[in-house]
Amino acid sequence: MITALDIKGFKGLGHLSIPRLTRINLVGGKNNVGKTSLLEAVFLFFDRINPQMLTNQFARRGVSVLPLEPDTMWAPIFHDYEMEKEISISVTSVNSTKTMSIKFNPNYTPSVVRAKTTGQGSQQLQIRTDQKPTPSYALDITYKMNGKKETSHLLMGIEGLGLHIDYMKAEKTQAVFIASRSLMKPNEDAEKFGKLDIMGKQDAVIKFLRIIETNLTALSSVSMGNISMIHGDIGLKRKIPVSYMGEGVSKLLSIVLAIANAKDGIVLIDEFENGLHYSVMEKIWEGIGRAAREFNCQVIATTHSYECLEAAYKGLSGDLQNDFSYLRLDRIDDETKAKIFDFDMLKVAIDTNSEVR
Amino acid sequence: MPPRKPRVIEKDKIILVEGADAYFFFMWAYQAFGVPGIQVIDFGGINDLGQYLKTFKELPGYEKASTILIGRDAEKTADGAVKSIKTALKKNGFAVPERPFTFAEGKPRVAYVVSRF
Repeated sequence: MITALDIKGFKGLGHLSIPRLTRINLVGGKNNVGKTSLLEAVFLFFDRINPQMLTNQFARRGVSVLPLEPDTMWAPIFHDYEMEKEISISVTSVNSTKTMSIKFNPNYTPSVVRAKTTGQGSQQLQIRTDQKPTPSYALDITYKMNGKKETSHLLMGIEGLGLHIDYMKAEKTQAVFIASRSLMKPNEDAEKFGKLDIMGKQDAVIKFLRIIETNLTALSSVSMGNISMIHGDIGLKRKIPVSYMGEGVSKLLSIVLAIANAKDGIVLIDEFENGLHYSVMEKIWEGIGRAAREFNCQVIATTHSYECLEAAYKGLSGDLQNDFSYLRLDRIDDETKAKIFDFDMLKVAIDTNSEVR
Repeated sequence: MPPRKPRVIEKDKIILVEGADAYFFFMWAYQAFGVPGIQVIDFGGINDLGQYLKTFKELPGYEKASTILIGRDAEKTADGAVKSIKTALKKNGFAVPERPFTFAEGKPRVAYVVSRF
């Protein structure tokens, strides 16, 4: 579990330090203060061996086509679009801090040169003694912890995007990002559900979804061609795809599957309230709190909604209250400050009807 | 009934009071005297002033506050109320006035009054 974060030079975050995180963290603040960027920074930290680590970020924000140029693809992740500055993301877990740094390198020279074939299907290699590595643009990525260093290079060249890994271990902690835009991933959800079904956890998923769809009695993963979809029984003559039950049910399904499949991991939820009616949010938060405990998972979610905040406060009361924190981000000059409200402070704020978003 | 709009810290001079009586007293008083730039905030229901101040200084808009006046009911004894206010201020890093009706300089400046509202 992440206990502290320090982010420098990433997107709108000149510098953000969060000294304390709990199991369930709700993040608020005005538009463009960096709430989504915070989630993206955390996800990027864990998404280390993925050549699409940055293009995925654009897709989540609804950008699907971009020219393959550093200025359009990479500059937006640097604070003030200044690629000469370094990005640093430090993640502290229980006893250790690991720092990811990203630097633009306009003259990266790969240490391995791929031999080019003379034509498609040819077995002959064209080998020339004057072949030299072609410099590419790269983002040099370094992870440092306890004096140990791991490096890789995200490349942009004539062959497109790639990742050269000098030495880097795969990350054990699984991170899942649930975007604010509802991007249905039926295959992914069906696969996750299948894993839970095998472990006999289907009932837990149904119980959670019944917060919204009270008629739901059973779920099954159904394959149709190349696509698998989760279908549910809500008392009709046939089972129907869960996605037809509405955006709220689909979102809830994605959340519960993410938590249950990210054991010991982290689930990042952008704009939590989207698609959810305020009247069910308290129970959803309680469900998330209990699921996060059961699967030892950490949740960081963003919101603009006071109703969502109140619901989280009420749903995560009692034995769950020490698991919960509210973080309000505020930009002051070039620094983003995180005001941290524990359960008692949030109680005071809500009981006195104070604005905290 | 529509939900109440959450209260925002808007002014730089803040009067913190406990309960509706004190709230309306100060509201009418500052309007009658025509003093501009004052906001009265009722933290009634939160018995622990220390816990309220801990939250208050994290609220959006707090950085605007240049002056704070705390108005509390004496309840059992005035001495006990003064002691309680001083302890709450000190615990939360605020300037602590020696006596009622005097300002302790700091950011923000702080004063307190103890009365029977």
